[in-house]
Amino acid sequence: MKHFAVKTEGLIKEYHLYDHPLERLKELFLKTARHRVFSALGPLDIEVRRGETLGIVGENGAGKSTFLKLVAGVIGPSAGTIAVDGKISSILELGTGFNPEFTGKENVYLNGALYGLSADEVNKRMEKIMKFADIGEFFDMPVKTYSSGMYMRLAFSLAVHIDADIILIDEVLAVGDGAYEKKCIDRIWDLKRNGITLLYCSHSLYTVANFCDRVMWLKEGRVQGIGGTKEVISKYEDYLREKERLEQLEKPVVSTSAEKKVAQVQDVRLVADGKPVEISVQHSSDLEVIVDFEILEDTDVYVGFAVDRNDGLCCYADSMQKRGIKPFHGPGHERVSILFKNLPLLCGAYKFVIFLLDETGICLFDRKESTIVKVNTVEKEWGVCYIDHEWER
Amino acid sequence: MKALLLNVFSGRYILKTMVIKDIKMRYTGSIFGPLWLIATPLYQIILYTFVFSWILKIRFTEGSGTSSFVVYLLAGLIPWLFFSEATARGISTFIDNAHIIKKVKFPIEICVITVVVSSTVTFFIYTFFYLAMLLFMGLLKLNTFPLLIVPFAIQVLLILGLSLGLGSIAVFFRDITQATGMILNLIFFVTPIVYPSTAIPESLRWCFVINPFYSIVETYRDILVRGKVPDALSIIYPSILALVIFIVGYYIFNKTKEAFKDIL
Repeated sequence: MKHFAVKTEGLIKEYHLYDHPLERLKELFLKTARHRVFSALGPLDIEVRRGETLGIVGENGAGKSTFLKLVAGVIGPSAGTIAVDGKISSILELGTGFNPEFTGKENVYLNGALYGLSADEVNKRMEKIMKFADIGEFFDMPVKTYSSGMYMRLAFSLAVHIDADIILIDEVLAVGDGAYEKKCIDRIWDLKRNGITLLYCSHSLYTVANFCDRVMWLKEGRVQGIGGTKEVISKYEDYLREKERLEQLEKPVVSTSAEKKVAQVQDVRLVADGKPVEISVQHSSDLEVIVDFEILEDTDVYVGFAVDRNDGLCCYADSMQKRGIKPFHGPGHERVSILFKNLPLLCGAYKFVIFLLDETGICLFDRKESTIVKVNTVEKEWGVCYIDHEWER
Repeated sequence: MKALLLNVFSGRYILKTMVIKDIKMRYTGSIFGPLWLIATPLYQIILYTFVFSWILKIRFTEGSGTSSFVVYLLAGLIPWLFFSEATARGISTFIDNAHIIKKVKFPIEICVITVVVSSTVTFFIYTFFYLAMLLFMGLLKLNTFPLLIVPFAIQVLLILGLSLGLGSIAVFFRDITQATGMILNLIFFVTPIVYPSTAIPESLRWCFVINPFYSIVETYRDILVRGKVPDALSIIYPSILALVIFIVGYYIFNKTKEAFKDIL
């Protein structure tokens, strides 16, 4: 037995697109290229160890399904090699090769055979498959009468009962009710404990984070990140949020700043544990935000701030007047510092937004954002920030 | 060829299940179920008999070896139905089974073999009724019976070659499946199946020479109707043609199978 379950070297999958079938015919005979190349995946070098659970994340069209299909062997690579050691079962793109006219049972025989089982071997497993699918009398009814949930249950039940060494799952646990999802997850945990190799592809980052030993993030067919679950998922989440923010920026924003500047933020600096913050800051360190600003007129100015995650989620916001702090009075240069002791933010990318406001808090003189700062977490907590709590049992 | 046999062997469970599926497919959801497998051939035979010997009252003796036109007709029609049904279904089999090919890795030649085996079952049912009819009429000739394997093998080779080759191309150009129906129809009429071979004018004889089905159909008639050993010379041409078509078809299939999985 080899130490890997799946190994690829320079794996590339390209599709040739033709505007019209006739173009393909012309290419065949005239030997001139008449296609456009669509690169779906690669080049990809990855080794999945035996018994490992690899999560695959990425946006739609990133090549996740293409990769699983290549592993399953239902399509061949355009270049490079892919080696698979072990028997594969797969649930690709919602369902296996079910024939809608046949009953669930007949489809189990058919698919069992496709996976290389004889009728006897299928018979031995039939009871278990039926029990696990738990679709009652529908098991003996044509698959075309199934709801998508029942369809999925049968497909899942079949895939986990054929003694495969490698299971490929493409976005299926999301289908079905909560109780059944739990059952599926329990079953996968069992299989994991028994040393099965699992390639799991999903948009549910929470599930991926809990399941997988390692995560691969695909973007436009290429590996954008691979490694520890927490690290890659958090990078991917940052990317998604950043993307969402950029999309929102494209929408016109109503300007709130007064035409004539009353006050202006000049600089927002971040200092953690006495050192300026470059890119990242550790969770629970002491973070200080230092704001330099100028008041141009003879008026009161209050400073406010907001902590935003890079997708625009406001994690926390506060201001001087809410705290009853005396305002700054102009004109003149001023400096204010906000200290976050034991920074409670969890893994993610955040920014600090500084506001200069009047005494009502409605009129905004100026605003300025700090650079984006990444917060690193050691603990495996989930969410935006640490909330103080105690366990008791 | 060795690879093909090896793949068929490794996929024997798939083949078995798929053949059962394919045959069951024809009657799932019907009330009479498997009865249809027998009813359809029986109905066809009775219909042809009725139309040709009662309504049209066609009788002839010259060169046919029988005075009953129905006996002559069915000896050609039954093998033809086997061939045309299997070829038409074989050519679209990759497209028809796309839902499986796209999900599970297995030797996809099995799809073609499934069609051949499943059509053979129907062919045997027809043949059984035909032989029963000959027995009833006292015309059954058993001495040449085992020779049936020869034209049957030629047909199977032809079906395999056409299905693998054209079936692969049909994935890229769906036009093939449409054209197949038309071409099969043409071959049906240029082969003396529903008319005696003597009905063709001398000037069109060359059609018979280049049409392998003329020899195949005549071979079936020699064996079943005339009770004579077929002329070895007359089957050389269809045998070689079938072999060439099979080799070319299998070559095309192997060349294109990876590519057509992408666009199924």
